[in-house]
Amino acid sequence: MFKLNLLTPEKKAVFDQEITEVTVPAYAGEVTILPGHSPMITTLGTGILKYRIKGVDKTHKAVISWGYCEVTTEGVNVLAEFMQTPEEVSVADSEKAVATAEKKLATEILTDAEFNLTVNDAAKARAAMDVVKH
Amino acid sequence: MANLKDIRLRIDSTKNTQQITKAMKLVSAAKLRKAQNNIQNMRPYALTLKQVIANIAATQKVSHPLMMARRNVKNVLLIVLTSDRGLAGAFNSGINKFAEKYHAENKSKVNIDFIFIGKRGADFFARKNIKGIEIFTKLEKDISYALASTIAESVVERFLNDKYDEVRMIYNEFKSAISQKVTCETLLPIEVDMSEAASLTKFNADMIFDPSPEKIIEELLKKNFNLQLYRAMSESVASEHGARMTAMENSSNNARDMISKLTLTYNKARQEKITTELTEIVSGAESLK
Repeated sequence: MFKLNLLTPEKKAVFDQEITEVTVPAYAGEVTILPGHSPMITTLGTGILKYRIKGVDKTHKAVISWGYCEVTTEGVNVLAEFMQTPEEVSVADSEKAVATAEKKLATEILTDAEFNLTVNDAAKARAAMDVVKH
Repeated sequence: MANLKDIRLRIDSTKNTQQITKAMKLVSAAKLRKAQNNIQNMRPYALTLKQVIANIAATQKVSHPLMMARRNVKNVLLIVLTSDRGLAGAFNSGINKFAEKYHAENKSKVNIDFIFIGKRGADFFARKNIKGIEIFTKLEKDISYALASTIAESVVERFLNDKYDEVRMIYNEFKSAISQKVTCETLLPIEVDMSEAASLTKFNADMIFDPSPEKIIEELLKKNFNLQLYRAMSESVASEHGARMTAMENSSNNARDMISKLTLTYNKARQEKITTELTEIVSGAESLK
């Protein structure tokens, strides 16, 4: 039994779902976790989370932004601050978001916090576009 | 005796008011349901986050400035959470009174600064010549996690820069649809309940950490603070709708009572008028005989 829990402050996205593998955008880069992985805790960046439900031949995807991932012998717990499924993504909105963020980075003087936020916004929108395309 | 026409006008206007309060009650009830769902959806996330922090803190023996209580509390930041709109019973006045009392009692000992979330609190203190260092209004749209994190990040930064030694928040805790409680909570430093860690023995001490436990706990604590703020804001919104629902229910009932009283007076007056007219006609006819 290898289970995935994916929680966000606004909803319980995936709960006690049996899976065969999950790929997360971890601190050091993309990590694929298979059953039997040794216990691990890592923070997650902005990117695409992929998982395969046991017995279903399809990769499910979601955009997540900042999160934390805990691997135990029983499964994977992912807490994400922000999550969007491909169905929820609007490409036009994402393109607009990338453009605004890039313009802001290029023209305005930002504090560190604002800079990080803007960079993250851009990354989020780019990940959203990727999740729809691939 | 009041004029018949006047009474009828009053009945009509009370009926109009009753219709408005009834509609507001229904709107609040719908919004309350949504807000309650919000609180419920957040619970598993909050619980897991809290547990992980306790686990890491206990097994890895790490600590962080955000967790450490400060000995000499000199500067306190008070976050006052109200709503933008009134007509919600004692919802806002309870908070304002509490905050004012707290300020009056403690201002001689410590320096208190305010952050106001919601227009009602900001306006109330502005009249008393107390200005917030930051004011967030226009919460009509649903409060979002994104808004909570923006506020939280600026607060954490101030706390870590030693500008404040303690951050407290005054808000309406959501008990049930009909009861809200004004609560004052210490948000920072974060209190980590180590007893929760003991309950989870399966937590492996040989866990791989990437990045280091110190770094992870810092991030988790910050996120936990964001979440606390978001939770309080959600509770406050739920309380607001609950309070408004009760207030509107009461005023609809009052309007109903008033209408029935007025109708009674109206009918009595009408009857009296008919009687008088009859007597006049009868006595007129008598005099003609």
